[in-house]
Amino acid sequence: MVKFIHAADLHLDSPFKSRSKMPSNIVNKLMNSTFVAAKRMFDYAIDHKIDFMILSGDVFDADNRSLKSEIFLKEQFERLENHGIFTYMIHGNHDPVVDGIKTSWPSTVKVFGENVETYQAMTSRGENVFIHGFSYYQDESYESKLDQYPTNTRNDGIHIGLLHGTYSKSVRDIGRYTEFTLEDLNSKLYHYWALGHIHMRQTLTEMPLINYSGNIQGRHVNESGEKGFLLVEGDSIKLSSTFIPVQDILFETYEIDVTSVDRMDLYQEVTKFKNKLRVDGRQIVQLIAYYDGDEDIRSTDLFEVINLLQEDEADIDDFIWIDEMKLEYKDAERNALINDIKASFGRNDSIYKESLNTLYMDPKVNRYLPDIEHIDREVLFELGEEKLKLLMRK
Amino acid sequence: MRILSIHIYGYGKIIDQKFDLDHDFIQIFGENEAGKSTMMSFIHSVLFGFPKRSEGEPRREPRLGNAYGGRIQIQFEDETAPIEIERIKGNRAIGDVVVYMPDGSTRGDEWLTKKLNYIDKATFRSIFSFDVLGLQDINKNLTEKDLQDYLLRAGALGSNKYEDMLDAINKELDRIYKKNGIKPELNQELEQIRIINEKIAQFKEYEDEYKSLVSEQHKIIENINVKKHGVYTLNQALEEKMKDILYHSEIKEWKELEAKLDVEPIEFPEKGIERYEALKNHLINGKKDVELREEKLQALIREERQLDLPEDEDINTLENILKQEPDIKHKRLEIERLQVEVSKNEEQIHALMNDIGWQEEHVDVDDSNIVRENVQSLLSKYDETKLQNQFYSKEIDHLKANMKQIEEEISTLENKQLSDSQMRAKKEIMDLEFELKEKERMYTLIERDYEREKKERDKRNKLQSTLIISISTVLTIVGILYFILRSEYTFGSLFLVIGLLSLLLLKLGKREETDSLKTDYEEEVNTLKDKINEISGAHDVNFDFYDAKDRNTELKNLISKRITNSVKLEDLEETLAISDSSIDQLNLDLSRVKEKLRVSEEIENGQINAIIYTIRDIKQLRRMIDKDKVKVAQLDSDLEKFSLDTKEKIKNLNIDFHINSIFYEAKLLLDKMRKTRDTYMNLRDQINLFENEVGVIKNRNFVSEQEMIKLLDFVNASDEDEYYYYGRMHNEYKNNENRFKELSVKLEEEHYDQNKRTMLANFLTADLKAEETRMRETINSYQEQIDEEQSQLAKVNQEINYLEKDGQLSDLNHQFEIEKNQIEVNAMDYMSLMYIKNLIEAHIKAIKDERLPIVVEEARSIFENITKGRYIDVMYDNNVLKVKHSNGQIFDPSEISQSTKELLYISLRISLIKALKSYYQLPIIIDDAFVHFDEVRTKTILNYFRTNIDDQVLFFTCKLEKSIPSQDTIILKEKIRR
Repeated sequence: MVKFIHAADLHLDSPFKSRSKMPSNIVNKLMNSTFVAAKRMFDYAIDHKIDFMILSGDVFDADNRSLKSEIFLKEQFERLENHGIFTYMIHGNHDPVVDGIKTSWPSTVKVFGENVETYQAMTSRGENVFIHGFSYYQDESYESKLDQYPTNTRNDGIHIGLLHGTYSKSVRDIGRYTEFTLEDLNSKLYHYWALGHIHMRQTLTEMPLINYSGNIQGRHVNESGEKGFLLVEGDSIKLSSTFIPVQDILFETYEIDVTSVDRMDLYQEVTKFKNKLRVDGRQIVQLIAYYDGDEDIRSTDLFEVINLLQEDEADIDDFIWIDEMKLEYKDAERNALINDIKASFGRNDSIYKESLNTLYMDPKVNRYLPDIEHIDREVLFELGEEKLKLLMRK
Repeated sequence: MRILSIHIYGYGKIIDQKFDLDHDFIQIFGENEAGKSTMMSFIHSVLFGFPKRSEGEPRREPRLGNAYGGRIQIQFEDETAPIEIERIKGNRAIGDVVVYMPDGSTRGDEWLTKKLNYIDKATFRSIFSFDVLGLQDINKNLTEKDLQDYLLRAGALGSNKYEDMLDAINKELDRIYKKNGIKPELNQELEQIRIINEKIAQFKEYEDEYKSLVSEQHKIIENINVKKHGVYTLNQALEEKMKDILYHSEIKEWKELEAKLDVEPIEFPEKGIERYEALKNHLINGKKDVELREEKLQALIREERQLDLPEDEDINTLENILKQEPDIKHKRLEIERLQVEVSKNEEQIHALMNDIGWQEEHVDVDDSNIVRENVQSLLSKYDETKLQNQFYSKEIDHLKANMKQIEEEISTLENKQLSDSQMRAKKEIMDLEFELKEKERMYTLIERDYEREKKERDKRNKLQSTLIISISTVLTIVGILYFILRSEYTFGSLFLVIGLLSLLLLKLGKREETDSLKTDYEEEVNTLKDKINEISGAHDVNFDFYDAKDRNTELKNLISKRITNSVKLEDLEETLAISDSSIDQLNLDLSRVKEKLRVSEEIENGQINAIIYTIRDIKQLRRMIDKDKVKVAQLDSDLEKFSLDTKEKIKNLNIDFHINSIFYEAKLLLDKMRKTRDTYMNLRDQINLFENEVGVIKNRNFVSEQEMIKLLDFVNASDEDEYYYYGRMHNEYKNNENRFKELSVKLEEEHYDQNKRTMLANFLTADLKAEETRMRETINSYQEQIDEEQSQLAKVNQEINYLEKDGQLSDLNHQFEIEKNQIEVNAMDYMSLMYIKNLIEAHIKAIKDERLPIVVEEARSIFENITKGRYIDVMYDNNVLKVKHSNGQIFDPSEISQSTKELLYISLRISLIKALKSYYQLPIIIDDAFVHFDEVRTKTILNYFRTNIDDQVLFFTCKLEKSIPSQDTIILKEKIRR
């Protein structure tokens, strides 16, 4: 019987993405949320007397690999050390070894080197556990080191593989580091694979159990839903994992129907909806309000409503922050004219490029913009169309 | 699309009319006010909605309340069969529209709008409607831009113009970003992020500082650790040294002892001295004991010899005598008691004899129960007879008294007796008086009846007489009148007579009344009264009849009672005599009994019974006295026997016998004998004990002497002093050996081995102490260094802590990301709008470049056609329309004639309609547009419309064009006007 925690992608102190400007209390909560979530995980580890903890990379965030996060982690590791809990940890693409650890970890923290290593652990009930893994040495490690993982031939204990990489069938458009197939992993005959890198929690196979634990705190609206870690229990015959949510702030998209677009009515309806959400804790919300009626709302009024809804949350601890609110008219026709134009010129690259160039050619701006290839033409068009619709509604 | 027919329910002045418009070109003629505009407006309204108030057009609702609206039948090109559109007044200003499909289903507003490709009323008018005003100022109404607009607008939703869109977009773009701008949002954010970046750079330096601090911290910690280890080692050595100093003296002692013990060990018996001395003491004491005991033994033997031991037999004898003491004492007491009792009983007998008057005891008197019961029965019989006697005498007295009273009563009653005649007269009077009373009652009743009858009769008579009087009076008056007035005397007197006569008659009739019955009764009463008086006069009847009768009866009763009583008295006197004789007999019997009991005659009969009981008591007591006397004799003989026995036994014991003192004496003698015997036994025991003890002690003394000799022999000592010397030598050796062993163990425990001990024994203590001092100094110097480094470390740690606690870089990174995010958001907005803007502009450019030339070219050809070749070109020069005459001259529209200008306008419009053919297929409506044309020109243009235009044309005019066939003409008549 072994009991351990598998977590990954803590991205401690990672910055957040939001569309709206938030008041300081919410920004502060957001800044702290990765720490709060991680703290909950460490509390859980101590309360439930786990055998050891596994962190499958990206513990820190490349955009803000802060001293604060290292100090925090050190304190937490020391807590584990006081309770005799070992930690096995690899570095991922966001926190490669070469970036250097400024502080030193307690002796109970085992960090894997750039080549595949094996640590042997003993559980409280005397079972042998072999933990294999490697860390990203430099910023990015495209070289697949899967071949270096030893194959379990003797079956003399529980074998766990740590890997920070991309499942070959994953469709997510992220850095595809260390791509692997299920066959690669299965061939090692391990009992458990603790994967990191992909932020969405998923189980690739049940036998052997191969899990992405996902990150422990969402950072933008695309990382919606509950976030946390996996508690893995069992023995060499059967391991099972349980998801334990620890996120401090939930990112979520909601769709609601509104019965009126009168400023006050709309404000009231959304406020009611917000208060219903509030019992589930802090949330950053993207809201799509559907309206089925003849009335029209002026865009200035809509902005005013949104501002009001946001101002209400300024000093609230359990905030429901409406990061973005779209009002969709159910019977709204598409702008036929625009569609006409799109049909004629939508595939015209030069027009598209020219539109981006204004900003991408400005050196003061372009360094803060995403890679030009990452911008989706369709998304841009739809955004523009929606903006235009709003503008024309004034 | 073609309008087949219209049916107006009510619109302006037109009420409930149908028009067939199913022609390619149709002329609708009507004079002014005939309803042309109304019909045109009707078509617009049904297709696009009734005019709203804001449109500035009359709504034309029927004034008389008829239904507002109507329906149009239309054939669309893409529909197989005609459909009907009906619009009537509804909730909204534009009215409610229903589209009836060929298959019977219906559609609504939306369907129609879509079917008409979203064109609105205004656009429809400006493209498909021709009127005089529109044609007048072509410069104003159809610039190149307008034309472009119309072309662009085709197919667009609503009437938003591209211009508006671009304006709005540009404004928004400017709001978001300007290259090198300051105010726009994005520019402001760039400025903010620049500031943040600077700060981050600053803080990154701190971080480098932190790294160097951490490495310094590591270095210091290592240094401290090395030195701490040194201090530790030195401290260990120092401790060792201090221990050496502590044990140095003992080590030296050990060494000395080691040398001392290096000889042959001395042999000596275990605890030799103690043992020897103990034996010696023992022996001296033993000898003393023997002497003491022998002396005491002699004294005891002397004492024993003086004692005289009594005989056992004597003691037994005395004990036997003492045993009998209680028995003898008891017997003597019993004799005394019995003697007292005998004398008491004699006294009692004497008293009893006195009671019954005996001078001596008569033992033979019969006192049995038979005698007693006989006396009893005699006595009871006697008492009974005595009681009867008393009763009888009392009864006789009572009877006698009774008789006397009766006699007196009889004599009284006889005096009061009345005669029989008196009684009879009284009876008669009573009967008469009763009769009289009855008669008087009857009389009163009759009298009352009579009075009432009389009253009624009087009343009747009065009425009759009044009547008669009045008639007669009238007759009399008539008669008088006859006399006075007519002087007719015959009649008059006749009447008068009759009247007077009747009066007279009346008077007479009244007197004939009588009361005969009343008088009869009065007479009878009086007769009776007389009779009563007569009888009472003859006899004395002044008494109560019933009382007299009672008195007679009572007298009779008393006489009979007197007779009965005298008989009873006689009987009683006889019975009393018999009873007296039986009493005498009983007295005789009782005196006989007394004689038998030998008691005096005088004793009352009632006492006899008690006497019998007393005699019995006397006899009883006598028997008891006899029994006691026998017992006393027995006891006396027992005592005598005891005295004789005892005297015999004690005659050689030197004591006198007396029955009272013998037990006391015996007891004294016995106690003395016993005491003497006990003393003797005691002495004997002590003597034996001492003799034994002396033997034992003597034996022990001998053993001790033997032991002492053995001890001296062990060390081969000739005398005691030599023995003691050997003892001292042995002790010293033992002590040294023990001390040596003790030190060895102690030093062994402190890890001092043989070599180390020998080595240390050679050192001087002072040397060791000097060494210790040197070590202490070294340690202190190390400690100072450590302290210094630790304070350094504390400083470094403090700085590290300061940097660690300070999460500003982290915060800045967050701010940076947030700002970056905002920039991204704004940039995306900006780029998206820019993209839309560029698309729109590309579109406009495309229209400008591609479609407009075609339209202008088409217009040119139409213009050339309808001007019969006088003008050969139409062109836009810098957004200004120009035309080219066939002579090559180019004119501005303002320079050409009005009608030509209108032709140009028409040409452009027709060209536009053709260009928009793919978007809109709608009927063309011409509203008297050709007023400025001469006949030829009108004909030409109409001809053009009729032949070159595919769309349906509705031509409204107030001048009937003869050139148009009458089947293509509708004439609106005056009758429409109401």
